[in-house]
Amino acid sequence: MIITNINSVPGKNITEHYGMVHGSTVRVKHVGRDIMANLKNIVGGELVGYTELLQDSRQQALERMTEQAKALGANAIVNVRLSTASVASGAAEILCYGTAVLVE
Amino acid sequence: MLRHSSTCRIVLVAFAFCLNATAGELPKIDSAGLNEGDYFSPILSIDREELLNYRQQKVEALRHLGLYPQDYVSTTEIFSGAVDQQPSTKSSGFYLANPHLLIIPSRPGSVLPITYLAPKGNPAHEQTMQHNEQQMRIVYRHVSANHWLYWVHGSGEKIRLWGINARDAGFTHAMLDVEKSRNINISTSGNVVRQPTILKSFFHYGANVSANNLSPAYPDMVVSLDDIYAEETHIYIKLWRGEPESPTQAEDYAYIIQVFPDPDAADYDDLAAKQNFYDAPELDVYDVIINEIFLDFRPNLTLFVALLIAGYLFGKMLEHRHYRSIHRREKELLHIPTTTTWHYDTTREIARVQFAHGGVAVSTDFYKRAIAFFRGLIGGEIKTYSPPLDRAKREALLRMKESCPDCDIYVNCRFQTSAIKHGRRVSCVEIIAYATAIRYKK
Repeated sequence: MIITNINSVPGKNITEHYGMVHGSTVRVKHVGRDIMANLKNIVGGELVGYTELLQDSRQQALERMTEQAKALGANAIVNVRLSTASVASGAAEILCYGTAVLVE
Repeated sequence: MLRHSSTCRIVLVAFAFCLNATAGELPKIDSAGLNEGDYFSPILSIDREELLNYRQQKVEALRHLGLYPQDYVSTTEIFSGAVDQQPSTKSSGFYLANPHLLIIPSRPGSVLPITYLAPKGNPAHEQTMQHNEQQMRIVYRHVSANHWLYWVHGSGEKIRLWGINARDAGFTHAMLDVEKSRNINISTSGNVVRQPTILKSFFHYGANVSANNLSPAYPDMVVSLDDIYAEETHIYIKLWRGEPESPTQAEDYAYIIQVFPDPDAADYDDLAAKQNFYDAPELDVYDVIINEIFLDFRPNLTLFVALLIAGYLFGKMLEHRHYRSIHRREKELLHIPTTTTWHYDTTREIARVQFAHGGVAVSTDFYKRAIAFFRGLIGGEIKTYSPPLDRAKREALLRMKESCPDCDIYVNCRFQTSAIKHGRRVSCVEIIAYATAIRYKK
């Protein structure tokens, strides 16, 4: 599965469009990470636990989107967008969406 | 631990009640039952069985006072919390050894006895005790009620009354008799003192200290003084052995705490005099911990300044270190073009197309947050927030590139920032960078 965030797949021709596909996941960090993050809030800097969590979530969202595209018979997704939104206290929704296409 | 040395110190301040009562109307207590050594006996690390035996002996020795029931056994619920081989706090040891002190006037958060804090040998400390079948009077003389009931305890101007020994002696209900008391203010009290209170003080193990301890968090009654220099102060507590039918029912026993200062007692109430009054025996470490750390902990200016400094210094250090790493890695990846447009070399054959993404969650330090807060009062740019966000963007971009390091160009690169909220405040910011990585055929 080829994923791009531009209108085309470089070096290939798009022969068919399957419409929009998306994948999302909502994650909360666990208490241990929360405590560490609170400590980290004093000195600043990267919150490694959160970064990992968000990275994993993004990966999962992309996988879900890919599954959806596969089910439609596509072999590429173009114009993919990522977004993160805080939906509840400490919980984040990671969403990705794009257009499933067939390329040759 | 705070003032740990005091636990090792031998406490020399055991103070005996002066038993030669001056007033004639009540018989004085036979001193044979109350040896000086008993007034302060911390009991350390004995078995529960021994502890209860010790208590039994102390009560037996006071049998002639008639305070305790004839069939008293020390295994009452009051001491059910005692644990084998554990030390007692000094004050709980004191009250264990002095069962005649039915009601404990003490300071907030602690059960430290007055007797322990008022050292022997100073003529200013005269404590006498009188008793008969109906009442017991503990009389403090010479210095003001302010001293005896506030300063000696270093209290927040409240007198907290616990009834551990009263409960053990079989008194289940107590009530302050407002009519018979003098110079006592009950309006500041959070407790019901116009109704009989069920005595609930008990002996327990642990909580905040690893010792057999009284339960100072739940005083049975709380009162304060009307006039700290009043000529006389009386705390008159009615005790009942069962639930009284009404608050006006005659008490089974009365426990009265009285203070009669000398006319010039106010002279003692300056700081230097206070030093002389009691030559600052170190407080029991357990009492200090309960009082100052566990109950009185609240955010203060010192903590704020400490966090500010720690935030500033560590924040600066980490920022410096991070920028060094960013600069080094940016140099390594500088040869790969990164654009926000869709243009790439269409004349060359494409080997591979990949979706590259990287993210980072960052928080800012306490110092920067404090500055931002003050900035928020007057508005304008928050300059201190620029470096952390700049670092985060560059870090995210680097991670994006590092996820596909062997490509020839990154096109249509996008950033996305989102705040992860925790309650109402923002706890951290996540920055994502993503792009399409293209590799040409060689």
